[in-house]
Amino acid sequence: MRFFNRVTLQTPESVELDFALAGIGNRVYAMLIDYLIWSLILVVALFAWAFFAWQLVDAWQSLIGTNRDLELWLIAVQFLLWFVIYIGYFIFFEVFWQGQTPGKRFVKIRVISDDGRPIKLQQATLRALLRPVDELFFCVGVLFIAFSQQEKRLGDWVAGTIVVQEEKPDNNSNFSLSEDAKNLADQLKQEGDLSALSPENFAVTRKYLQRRATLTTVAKAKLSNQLSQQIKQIISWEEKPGKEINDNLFLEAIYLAYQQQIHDSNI
Amino acid sequence: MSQNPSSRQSLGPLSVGNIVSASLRLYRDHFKPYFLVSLRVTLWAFFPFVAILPLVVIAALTDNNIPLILLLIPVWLAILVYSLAKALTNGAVISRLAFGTLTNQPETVTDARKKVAPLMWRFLSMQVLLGLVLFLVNLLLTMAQLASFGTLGFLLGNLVGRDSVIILLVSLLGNIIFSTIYFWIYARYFIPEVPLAVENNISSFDALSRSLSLTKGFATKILVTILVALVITIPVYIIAGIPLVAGFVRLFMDNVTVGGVPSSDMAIQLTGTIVLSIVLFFLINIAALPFWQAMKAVIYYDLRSRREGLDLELRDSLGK
Repeated sequence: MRFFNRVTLQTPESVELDFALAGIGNRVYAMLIDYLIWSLILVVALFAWAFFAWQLVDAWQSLIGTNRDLELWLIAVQFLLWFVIYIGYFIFFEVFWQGQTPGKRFVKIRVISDDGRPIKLQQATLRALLRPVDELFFCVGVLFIAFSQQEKRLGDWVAGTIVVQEEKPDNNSNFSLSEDAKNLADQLKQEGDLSALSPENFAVTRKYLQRRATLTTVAKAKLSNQLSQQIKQIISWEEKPGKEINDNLFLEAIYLAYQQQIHDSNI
Repeated sequence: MSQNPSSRQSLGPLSVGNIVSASLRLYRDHFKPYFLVSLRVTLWAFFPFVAILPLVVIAALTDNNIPLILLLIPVWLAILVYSLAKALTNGAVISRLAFGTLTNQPETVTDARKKVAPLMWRFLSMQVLLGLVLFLVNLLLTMAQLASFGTLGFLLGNLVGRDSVIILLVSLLGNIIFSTIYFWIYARYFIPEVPLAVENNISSFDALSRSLSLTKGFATKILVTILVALVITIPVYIIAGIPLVAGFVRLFMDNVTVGGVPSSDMAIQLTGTIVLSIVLFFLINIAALPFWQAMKAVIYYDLRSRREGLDLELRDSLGK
């Protein structure tokens, strides 16, 4: 079954873009982080303003005398400040960080226009202004996101935006390979039938190498053994008796050999 | 905009947000079977409270015959234990179904129940063990908190006075630190029923240690996942609270305006709202439980992918 909604967008240039939608979990998580940061900013700003206002009223009093109006004005500004920070936080970040607030950046999601372009000021503003409505009873927006096909809350409908996951291409090769693997790779290229390896086999090998650092010792031993047995069968290659090769080394070599083979055939 | 056709790729490790979304999606796409199993869970959990009524009636009809009552108590306890085991087993059925879907090996409810039902007493003993562990942890932490922050507060109190804000802050800090430790341990024991339900023939003790070993290094992640899931489910729980809050507000208003003692009329009204709230809470629990049980399965799946390469194995076996 499909666990995450995907959309294919048609840009004005007729380019098709495929995105995974952010999903309710990521969006609520990002919101929690944003509200944490946002409330810290708010507390600091309101205290700073209160302190400033206090001083001002004091100074005014000693110079001119009591002024009720001034105090009311200062309180009014305080409310305005609260509103500006509440709305401004989201508008500022969504416009200047290409659709990402700090929370969204942490969770790796992004707001974009329905046509795949970065969102504009007026779209960010509409989203921010409709935020209080979406948060009515904690649930209006949540229900809209969780139960609609495009996962749009009211603000998204009005502004014409969607929230998508940032998908990094899965070619992270941040794993160390030993020197011996290079020699073994050369040997495998000559002795084994590497053309029998499917891209799928290669992907599994790469995934294993990417992830082996976090695997438990037992799982690592079991998986590497299982994978290398299967691959040896696929490429019809057997190690010489008495020269048993470590499973991890073998998989590293397979990774290198396959890559080199692709590289060679492209030249 | 169009939706892509589904791909039969296995999911692999998931982020916090995606764990929550996937759990909700699992529930949404299997609403009827999950909900019906959840209904069983709740009915079994409720049964002992219903069963107590006829026992009370029997006791009353026989003029409070003491030997009979002494006999009825173990009968009720047996019912309680059996119902609890049944409720736990049914909850695990949902987790098993969810895990089956995650690993591309879906089962019917009947099949899943057949697999899980014989383990009924293991689920119970596991829950009892878990309860004991958490109770002991709580006890030890409370003692440690008293010994450390309690003593500190006492000494500070002698220095700066009993009513100082500092004392309040120190005890608050103590509460935060020790609750964090408690929740951290709670997270480590969050998923034992899933290995018990899906792995072959493991004991209740093994299930607990499986939970402990799989969650090693991921307690914070689990706690954040629980927090996000709570924020999503809170609105529905608020609904259950509305009549209760409304009842208390009315009681308060009446008291203010009349200024007298609560009348029996008010007591009846209040009892009514409490009963209504309990009923609502049960209904909402039926609806929310599958989400939590599915989430436990998704967390278990995520941890096994990360720590045991579960998805690598499967993808390979699919590719064959």
